[in-house]
Amino acid sequence: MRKALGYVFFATGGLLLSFAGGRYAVGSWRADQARAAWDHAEAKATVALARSVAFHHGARHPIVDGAPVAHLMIPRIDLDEIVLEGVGSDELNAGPGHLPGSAFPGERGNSVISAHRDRHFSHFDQLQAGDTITTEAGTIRQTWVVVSKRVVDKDAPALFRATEPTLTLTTCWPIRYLGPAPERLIVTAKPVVRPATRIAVAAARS
Amino acid sequence: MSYRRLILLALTLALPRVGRAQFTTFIPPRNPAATDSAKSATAAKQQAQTDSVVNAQLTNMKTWVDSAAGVVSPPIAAADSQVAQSTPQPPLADTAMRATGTRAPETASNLPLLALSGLGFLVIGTILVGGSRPARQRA
Repeated sequence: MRKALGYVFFATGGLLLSFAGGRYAVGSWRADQARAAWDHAEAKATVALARSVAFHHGARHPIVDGAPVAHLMIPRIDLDEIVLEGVGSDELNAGPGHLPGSAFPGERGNSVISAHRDRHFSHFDQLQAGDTITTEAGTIRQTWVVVSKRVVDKDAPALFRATEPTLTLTTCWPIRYLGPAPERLIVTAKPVVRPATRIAVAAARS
Repeated sequence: MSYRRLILLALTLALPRVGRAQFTTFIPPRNPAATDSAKSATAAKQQAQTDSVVNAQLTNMKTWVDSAAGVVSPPIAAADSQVAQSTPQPPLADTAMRATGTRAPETASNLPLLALSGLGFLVIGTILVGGSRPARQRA
């Protein structure tokens, strides 16, 4: 009886570990794919041109969930990730996700990027006001400075409209917590230099 | 040669040079150090305003001429004057946020809990399976 119970525990543990490990592995594989797609010159040019056209003509073309839309770099916590469109389970498993409908980094408005605390934003608690963040989205490369850091309840309204370019990064809080975290860490950043530098427009168009 | 002829000859030679000199005067550039920055900024602003006014007048004149000639033209003048008055702002890009605020995306994850639970189950299972041997051997 004891041995049978041991096997049941063993099997259950194996299944749980396999599931969690598999999810992490799939996320890592998808993140690599996203980076390869981003780095690929043609894909980058296409995205850049699409973004550029969308920015200038005010027409927002729908972007497929999971598509790489931005490059996020935070030197303070050694973060260098490709941001995917969407904040669903699959997207957040692969990388930081861009909230659909929010502005893209560098655009006028509030750009929201979220990620899991146990993966890409695992050192997010080390981020302090004054730290710099760099984003590349389409043809816009923008440097941001962290201006605020706050913790809110998971159901509390935390994201607001902005008339100026704003970058909002969110993750779960507390960072070290077993189970679904009850709060959210909201980091707000403002652009350092305005207007944002446009990069590789000529290259994107050629 | 008479005295009058000499004067005439001198005038004939000298007058064109004097005349040419009137049209080839060198105007030295302003010394930037000497100019007051506030004054130059005001002057530049006035110049810009003057330019936009001239632009608007010319555009209006074209519209007037076109209308007088019976040619239907789009109302460029109004658009131009608006552009001259204010720099166009790109449209607000975010449509996801409500005015009253929106919840942060659901980033809570069960994976660490699942992984830890799995590890715990494995350890317990190993103890139970492994621990049963001595008991059986004792029996």
